Amino acid sequence: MNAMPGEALLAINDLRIQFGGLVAVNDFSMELREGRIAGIIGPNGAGKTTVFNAVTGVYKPTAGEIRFQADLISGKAPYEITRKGIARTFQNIRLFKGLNVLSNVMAAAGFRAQYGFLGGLLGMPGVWRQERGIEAEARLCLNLVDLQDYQYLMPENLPYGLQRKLEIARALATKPRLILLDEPAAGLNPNEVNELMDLIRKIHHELGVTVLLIEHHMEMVMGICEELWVLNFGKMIAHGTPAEIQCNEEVLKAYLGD
Amino acid sequence: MSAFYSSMLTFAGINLIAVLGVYLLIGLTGLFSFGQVGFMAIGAYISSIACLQWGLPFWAGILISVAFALIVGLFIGAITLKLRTDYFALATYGFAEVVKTALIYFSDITGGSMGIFGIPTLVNLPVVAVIAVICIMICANFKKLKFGRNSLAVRNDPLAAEIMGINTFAHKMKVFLLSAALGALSGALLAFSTSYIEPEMFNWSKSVELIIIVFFGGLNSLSGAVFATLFLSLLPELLRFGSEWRMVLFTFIIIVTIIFKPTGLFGYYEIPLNPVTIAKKIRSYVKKIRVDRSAKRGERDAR
Ligand SMILES: Nc1ncnc2c1ncn2[C@@H]1O[C@H](COP(=O)(O)OP(=O)(O)O)[C@@H](O)[C@H]1O
Ligand SMILES: [Mg+2]
Repeated sequence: MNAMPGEALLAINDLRIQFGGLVAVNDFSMELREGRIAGIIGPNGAGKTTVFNAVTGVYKPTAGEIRFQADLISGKAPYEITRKGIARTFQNIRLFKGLNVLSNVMAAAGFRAQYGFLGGLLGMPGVWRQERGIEAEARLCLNLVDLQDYQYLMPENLPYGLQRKLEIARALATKPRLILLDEPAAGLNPNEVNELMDLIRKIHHELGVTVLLIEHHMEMVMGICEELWVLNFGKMIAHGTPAEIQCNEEVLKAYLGD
Repeated sequence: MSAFYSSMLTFAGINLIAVLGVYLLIGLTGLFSFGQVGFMAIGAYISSIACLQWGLPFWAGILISVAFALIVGLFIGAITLKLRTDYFALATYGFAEVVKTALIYFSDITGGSMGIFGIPTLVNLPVVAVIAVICIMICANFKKLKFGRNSLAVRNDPLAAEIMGINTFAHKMKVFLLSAALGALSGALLAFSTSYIEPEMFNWSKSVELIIIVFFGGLNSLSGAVFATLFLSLLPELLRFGSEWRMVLFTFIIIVTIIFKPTGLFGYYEIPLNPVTIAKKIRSYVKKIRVDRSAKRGERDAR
């Protein structure tokens, strides 16, 4: 089922998302190759988050289709899409209150635990061993984002920057091939942004996860993305390397106004 | 033990089994249902009818009534679990009322509003105690395993839960069915311990009573649910409150709880039952005392 070399890991074809009369995404197409770090940029309200929501199954496309590893995923439920290998974080942090840091991450690894409902309730042999396995995987994810010292705290008690990291750890616990990061640098100080860039490179290099991110922080986008798509009013106005995008006239117009 | 205390504890144990279902459904998963009493009624009536009219042994009647509740639960869950929470509460309330109406309407089998008499009292305190402990262990496993995490995730943010690979509908269905089974089991045990059942015993106020107990103990604590059940089941009896004053007392208690301890009596606290955990706690406590002492000695020596 692995994507062939050169074949797109994620392919979006003429995607259209409409809310009543508002066309949030207008015939958007993109192909993301495996092993990339790529970005979607554009002014506020351009439809970037809506693209993520369509890919992860939160919104059903009004028209068009989305393929992951050549399989049609548009129309599938979010949990099915996640289990196929797409993870994401949210623009507005959505950690689970009431679960501590470790349990937040374990919640995202739970679907890979093999025990069933009855077996679990009756405490059949093997259940606790599986549970420890899930816990160990969750700890690895926490180590990766350097949150191992905060395991038993409640997420709402963490500083903002660490909450963002925890969201990434939780997404990684689903063992994705593709991770979608929605404005991961929003609200971070310059120091934290540098750390975040290192973390994204680490996820890419060490785990071999393909990264697609939405970001306003231009230094970061230009610093780590190999490929960019630019959206404005739901339409793609440019596609290319950061260097190409930087001197694209349409893009400058969209950002600066004319 | 006197017959009075024994029957009081039996009743508390039976109540506890129904409360556990409400705790899982409303407490952990945030699915606000008024339907628990409907499943209790199904348990009580189906098991009694199976025993008295079909001539089955009482334990077979209990099993059949639980199986019947699961089938009904599957149907009710399928049509209500995708509703918004407020509509879900209304729909489950409607379900319980329909069950009660059916009990009165099909009087040939159910005895109508007169109810069913002469059910053999085969369930006593030891039987209830053993079954209640098994149910508590099942719920403790539920909470500790991925099901507990899924429940809290679904309660807190269903969309994020779904994005983390949790099939939220399937999970809610599992909890709903487990809760229905516990309700039916509780109702069946009630029938075989009181010898007499009637539709009035399965009023919506019974669901409210169970919900109040869960809120009092704390939505997140299984220990809290157990403690609250025992406390609130025994207290009115000990104070010899008439049944009309029960609800007043309960309402008063819930208001006081919400004002002074909104997360319930126990909050997130669980009483440790695992011997290893208890040993660890004791050891760390002893160590702390030793460290304190040697620190004091150190201070003294330094002086
Ligand atoms: N669920 C929704 N219902 C109605 N309109 C929506 C919804 N989600 C997004 N929109 C609209 O779609 C447009 C694109 O939003 P979004 O994708 O969040 O933009 P951004 O590029 O800033 O992430 C906005 O005009 C927004 O108001
Ligand atoms: Mg956005």
